[in-house]
Amino acid sequence: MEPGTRVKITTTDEEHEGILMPAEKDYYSIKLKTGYNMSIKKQKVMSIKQIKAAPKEVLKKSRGGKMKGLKTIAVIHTGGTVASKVDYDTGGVIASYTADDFVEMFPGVMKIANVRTRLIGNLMSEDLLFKHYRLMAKAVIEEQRKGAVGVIIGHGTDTLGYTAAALSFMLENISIPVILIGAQRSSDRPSSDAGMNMECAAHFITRSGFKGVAVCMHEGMDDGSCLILPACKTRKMHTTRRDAFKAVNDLPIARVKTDGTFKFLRKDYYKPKSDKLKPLLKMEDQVAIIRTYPNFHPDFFEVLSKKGYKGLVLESTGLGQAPTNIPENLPNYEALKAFIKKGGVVVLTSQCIYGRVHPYVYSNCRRLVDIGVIFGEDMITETAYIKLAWLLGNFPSKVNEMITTDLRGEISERTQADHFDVESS
Amino acid sequence: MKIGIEIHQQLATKKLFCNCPSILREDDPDGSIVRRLRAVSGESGVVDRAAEHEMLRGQAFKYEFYNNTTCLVEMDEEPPHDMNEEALYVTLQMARLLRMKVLDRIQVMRKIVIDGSNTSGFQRTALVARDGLLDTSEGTIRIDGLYLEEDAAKIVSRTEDTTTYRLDRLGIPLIEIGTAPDITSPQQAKEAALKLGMLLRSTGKAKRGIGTIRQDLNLSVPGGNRVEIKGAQELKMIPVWLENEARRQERLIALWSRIKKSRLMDPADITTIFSKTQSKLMKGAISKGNKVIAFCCKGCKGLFGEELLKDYRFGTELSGLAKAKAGIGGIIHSDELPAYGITPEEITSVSKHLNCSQDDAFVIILSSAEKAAKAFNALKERLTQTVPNEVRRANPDGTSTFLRPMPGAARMYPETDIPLVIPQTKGIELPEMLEDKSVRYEKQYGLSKELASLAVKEEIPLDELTKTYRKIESKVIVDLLVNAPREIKRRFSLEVDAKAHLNDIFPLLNRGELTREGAFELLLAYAKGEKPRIEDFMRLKDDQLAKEIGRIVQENKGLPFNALVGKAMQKLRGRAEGKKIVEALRKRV
Repeated sequence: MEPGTRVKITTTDEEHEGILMPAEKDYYSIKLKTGYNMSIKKQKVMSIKQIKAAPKEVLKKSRGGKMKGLKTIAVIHTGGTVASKVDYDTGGVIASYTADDFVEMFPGVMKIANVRTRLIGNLMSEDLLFKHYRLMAKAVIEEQRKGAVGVIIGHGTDTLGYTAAALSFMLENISIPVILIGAQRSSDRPSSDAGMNMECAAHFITRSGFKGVAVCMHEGMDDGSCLILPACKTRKMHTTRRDAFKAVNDLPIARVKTDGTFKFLRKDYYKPKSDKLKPLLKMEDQVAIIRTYPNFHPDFFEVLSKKGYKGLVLESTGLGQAPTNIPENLPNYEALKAFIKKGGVVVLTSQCIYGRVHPYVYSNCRRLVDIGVIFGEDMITETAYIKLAWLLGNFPSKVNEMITTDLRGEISERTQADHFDVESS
Repeated sequence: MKIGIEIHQQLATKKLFCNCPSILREDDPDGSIVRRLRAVSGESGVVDRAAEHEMLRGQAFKYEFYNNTTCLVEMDEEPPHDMNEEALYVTLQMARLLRMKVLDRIQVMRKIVIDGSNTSGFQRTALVARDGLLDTSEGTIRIDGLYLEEDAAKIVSRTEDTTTYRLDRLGIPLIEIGTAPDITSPQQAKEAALKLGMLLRSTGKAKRGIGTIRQDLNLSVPGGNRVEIKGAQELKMIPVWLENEARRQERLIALWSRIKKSRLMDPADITTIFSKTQSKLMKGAISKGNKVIAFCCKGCKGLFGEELLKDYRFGTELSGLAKAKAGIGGIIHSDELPAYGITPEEITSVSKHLNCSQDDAFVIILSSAEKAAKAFNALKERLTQTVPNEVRRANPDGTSTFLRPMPGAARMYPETDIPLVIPQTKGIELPEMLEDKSVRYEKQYGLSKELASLAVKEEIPLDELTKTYRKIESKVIVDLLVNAPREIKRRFSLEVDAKAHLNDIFPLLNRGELTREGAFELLLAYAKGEKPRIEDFMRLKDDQLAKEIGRIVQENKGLPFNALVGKAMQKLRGRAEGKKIVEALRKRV
């Protein structure tokens, strides 16, 4: 019997009437008159009778016609908490709305712009592959061609920063705003942050004149304002808070309030050099991130060499140190050296998250420079990884030179005092 | 009449879905956050989202928090943790006490609540058991459901666009017990509430104090409709609310023939009529930018002035409805005029402007045009129903006010952040009933009936205390914890929580270093808000006593012996037994 059917279930000791809901196997779940769902073990059930068939699903049409005078933006949907609802198979939350559902959930957006939606995947962001970046980039290019004044990408938050960086590199000289949004609370609850992030992004796109890729997420735990954050320098810094996304080694670009007002917070953010869009969509697949730690063994480096990896982001412990100095750790040094000798590119970042790496303060670091490790300036690990894969894909012969050149705002020349945005408590 | 009651009892465990203590606070919060809620549909997608969205627009909710007693879970910045085991255990004890069937699996549901009292926009609630029984002197009542749910945030203040809540109460476990509509009299309802309260307190985990137990009352009379009266906190008022509600429904049924004939005409903006008004109310409203909107109610003359209850007219009822549904301050109707400084001339011109005849009434609303339209629609809809199926708030005077329409099952959907809970029904022990405990205390500890029942009522953990402090007489324990604070209140008008100082006082008493009187003096010092030095209250050793006596004799040279005894007794109260003081004096003099 399909969910929605009104049934009477007779068990060994009682009778229950309610509406059949999807349930885990071995159980029936019925919604009682009070609205509570009740699970009944199938084992105990003597009979289940249909009282009334499930109502035919009412097709929800009406996407709201085009409003005159409003600009058109595209919403590209990829999945994630920003558009997730109950999964009856596992009982958890899955990303399962279509892009249309997604827009319908946010009637507020329809008052800001006419919206064209596009569904290109239904993935939680931890499952994304480079090919999905290409799909997103192509969708953005097509939307720009079709005249959208900007694009909102609904994305899972976990790897949203990676995607922002990837699109930023792939879409050279994109001349419309491409704003990634996510949600830390699922959109099936009244307190979801998805709607506000979406509306703020729509306001910013239609009014600001901004060009390029950026992230739009809650500024604080309040539903007061969102920040527009730089694509290549934004990181998820908290597992659950709405304001998890912070600019790292950089500053937010703008603040957007729920009423649509916005303010640029700086002028020196990265801007495309021209209006001539140049898609650069290749990504090298064989790139890895390895974090060093005490009692490190050379195995990972050896596997990378053996498998023919082209690139490695080595997340070091501090200013650029790796466990390669005492006799016990020399095998690590040798393995890393062998990887580079085989043609692998190693870019070094820091586990400190904030700050810049430096090759010369400690002699230990110099020994890494000696074998060809590249110190990644103040790039965050995630961006360094994306950039390395992208460079290896598009400019294989110029990787060493370009990796430390600022291309999209991923490297700051100066480290400002206010680049260290850690909430004091 | 058919009556059902729902009891909500806070539990004194940690919070239901996080490890914060269930502490209510009066001190200043550490900070606050501001949120807005959005409309979502339930599992079955029934909610008219657009309508709800409109309703929520512009509503801001401010939540005050404390760093050390609330956390990200209450702020909806972190998913809920596992269900508190102790709270579930107590609920399963209640299921046994009420002879209920416990569910195979407990599914936590989200009940959409968009008044902002839950940061998430829903209340987490779980049906734990069904089909129980409760005996009363007027017959056995069926218990429909036993629920474990989280309490909502406490409202602090409300302005037109912002409601402020405090997060201390949010998440405190609540046991909800709902009876079937088997109750037939207001007195029986009170008895059932009393009995359920006793059972809950027997578990020893019921939170105590004002607001820790709340009753909702459901009532319908023949020809009426089910109405829920929320927030009936005072037990002795239960029959009054119920009697009033029955009367309200009967009056509405009696008035129905007139109500159904009424017709509301289109509203008109009549602000200009009052441009030179002397009425403070009207002037004030207009100066704030509000409009004066009015409409004629055909055939309604006298209807709004009809009393449903004493000092509660049909107009009062409509006013409450308009306030709740449109967020306006209320309505003015012609049956109550002249009043508010509105002159007979103004009344006549309003009446004329609206084309009202002799049989008609009119309603005036002071608000924006948008809100007035909402209020108009709410009133129009109301006049098509005899007794609407709705939720009302219990007022302290025994009346009630419209709160919201009766919510349907559509607002419930599963809480996906919490896995299904498989209740462990084996090994659930029945708590000792309070009456039984009182009798046992009498016998076991040789307490008077009165003292035993006080000890039970005040939840003195006597078994535990007598075991820990074997040398203190059980009478003394109860006396200090129950009687002493009462005596201090009576004699000095001071409050003291004796239990809070138990750990300072009882070990000393147990070692004989403090006398019973000394303990009382110490409690008194705490009551006075002093920070007493314990040494100043401790029992004097023989040499110390001799020294003190010496000093008293020195200071009071020439006093007769009896007067000296008086002085010494006063000075050394509680620090040595009277007999010893007299003995020491005698030795000295």
